[in-house]
Amino acid sequence: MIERSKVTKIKKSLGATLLKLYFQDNLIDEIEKVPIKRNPKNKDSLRCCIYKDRAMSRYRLMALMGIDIENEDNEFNSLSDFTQMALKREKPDNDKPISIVDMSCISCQQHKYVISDICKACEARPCETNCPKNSISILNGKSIINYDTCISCGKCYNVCPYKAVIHSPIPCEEVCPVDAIYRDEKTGKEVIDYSKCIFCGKCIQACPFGTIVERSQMLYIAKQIKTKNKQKPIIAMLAPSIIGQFPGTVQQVITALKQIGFDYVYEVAYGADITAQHEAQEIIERSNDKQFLMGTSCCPAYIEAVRKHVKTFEKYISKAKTPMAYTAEFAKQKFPDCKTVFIGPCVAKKFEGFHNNYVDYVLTFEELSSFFLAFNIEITELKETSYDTIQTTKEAQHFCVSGGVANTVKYYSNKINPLVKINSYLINGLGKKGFRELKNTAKGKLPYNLIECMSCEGGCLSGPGVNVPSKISIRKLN
Amino acid sequence: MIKVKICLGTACYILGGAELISLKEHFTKEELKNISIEVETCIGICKNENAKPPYVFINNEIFENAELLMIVSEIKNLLNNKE
Repeated sequence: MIERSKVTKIKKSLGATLLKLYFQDNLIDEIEKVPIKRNPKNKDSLRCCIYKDRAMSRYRLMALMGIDIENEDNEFNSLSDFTQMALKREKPDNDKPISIVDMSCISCQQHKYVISDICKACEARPCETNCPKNSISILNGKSIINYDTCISCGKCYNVCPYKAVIHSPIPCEEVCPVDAIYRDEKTGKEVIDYSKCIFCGKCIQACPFGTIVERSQMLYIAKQIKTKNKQKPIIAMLAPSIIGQFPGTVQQVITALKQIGFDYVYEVAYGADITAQHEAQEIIERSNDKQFLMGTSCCPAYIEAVRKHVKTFEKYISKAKTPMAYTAEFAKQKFPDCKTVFIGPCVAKKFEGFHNNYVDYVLTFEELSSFFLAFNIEITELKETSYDTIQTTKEAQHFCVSGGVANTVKYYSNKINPLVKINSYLINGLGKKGFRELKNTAKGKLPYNLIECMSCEGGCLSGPGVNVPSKISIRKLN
Repeated sequence: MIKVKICLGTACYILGGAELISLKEHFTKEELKNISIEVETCIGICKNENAKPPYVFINNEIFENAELLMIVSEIKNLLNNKE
């Protein structure tokens, strides 16, 4: 994850521009000018020239309107053509929440290890003697790597006393835990293999060029808000990780949401309580079995990882639905014609939401920021409103941090049957290490019976769609 | 006394200012005796078209695109110059 990245800032304000134009009723007429206004002639360019910056703004706007760039991009279409196309839609047309803008993929350094000019072709030549593939030779007083045989093991990097070997990873590939993103040999650009992708969003956070974009549902939601009527309320469902994402209190954020046009605001911790109760019940039932093991069920990226890569763990996953699912179900029971909008820090929830009949839309905190900016809402000046759901437990409100889910399951199982001993193991982040841990636990031989797995290190507070660094938000939680 | 005002209106907070909450922690107790840190809600500058939030004021000087580390070093500079 890139700390203090400018990319998210650019996306938020672009989203705000888009929404402002939409609510002023001149999106179709004005959208063509947005990339030019944002990258005027006299401005310094971020890429090679302002024209490329403008092209990138265009693609970002397409992603914000929910266009599937990989499949729907057509350079003959104007932005307003795409706007009309997007406005005709009610919902995303497929479950893929991520797209790659290949024009922006600058084809990172082709080789992971490069020998720099610092190299003095010394007498010891440890790079040469330690290379397992004999790929290093000396030419014109400098070591060179023969990339036909190099396997990028990094030995030369580790042994060079001058630190003359540079390690330059491809950021998106480096963070992908399941090797779902790779370079297309023909074009030199990155491609996602969706049969492997678990939608964790790590590549989005990692790319320094913001090339991997989320397909937003903000325009569909804006359309619902603009055309709503009393019979069909719009319900915002706020994930526990809302804490600290905006200035002021959560109760002020609720008021802000109502000012935008949401009719009710539900707390997803309400569903988290139900999830934990079900999981507690289930683990107690399973405890009759001597070697029982249960995996939590609320993180959608981890569930996808299990389905696509660790099949052997699938039988351990709890049957409980996710907090989002229970909350949405509750909303639809109360108001059958309502539209439900889950608001959280998660990209994978967009995938989960697409496949859940009770969830209509999924929005990230980052995208919600665009709404607040577009509506010019000063959150700290608002009065406080409470949730339209019942009081939740403190435990459920901590679902968004590593250990929070396991803790809530323990809390409830202790209430139901204190005799069942629960030893939990936390997989804190599905990086390459966490992924190995998951495979290990699938063997079912470890002395634990509850596995809590979260794809983002630290929990949802470090998700790809958060507004603030988790070290700030976690303070507000405690 | 160095007067620091941090804007934590919606735009400033959302566009990178949230981290400024932790500004105090970057100074020693001794140093803090010479700094007053206030948090303000929106001062209105961000409403301009070319605004660059987040905003911080140090002794009435405006800093746009304020980043935590840059503000810390700015204040440290002022502290050192005083001595």
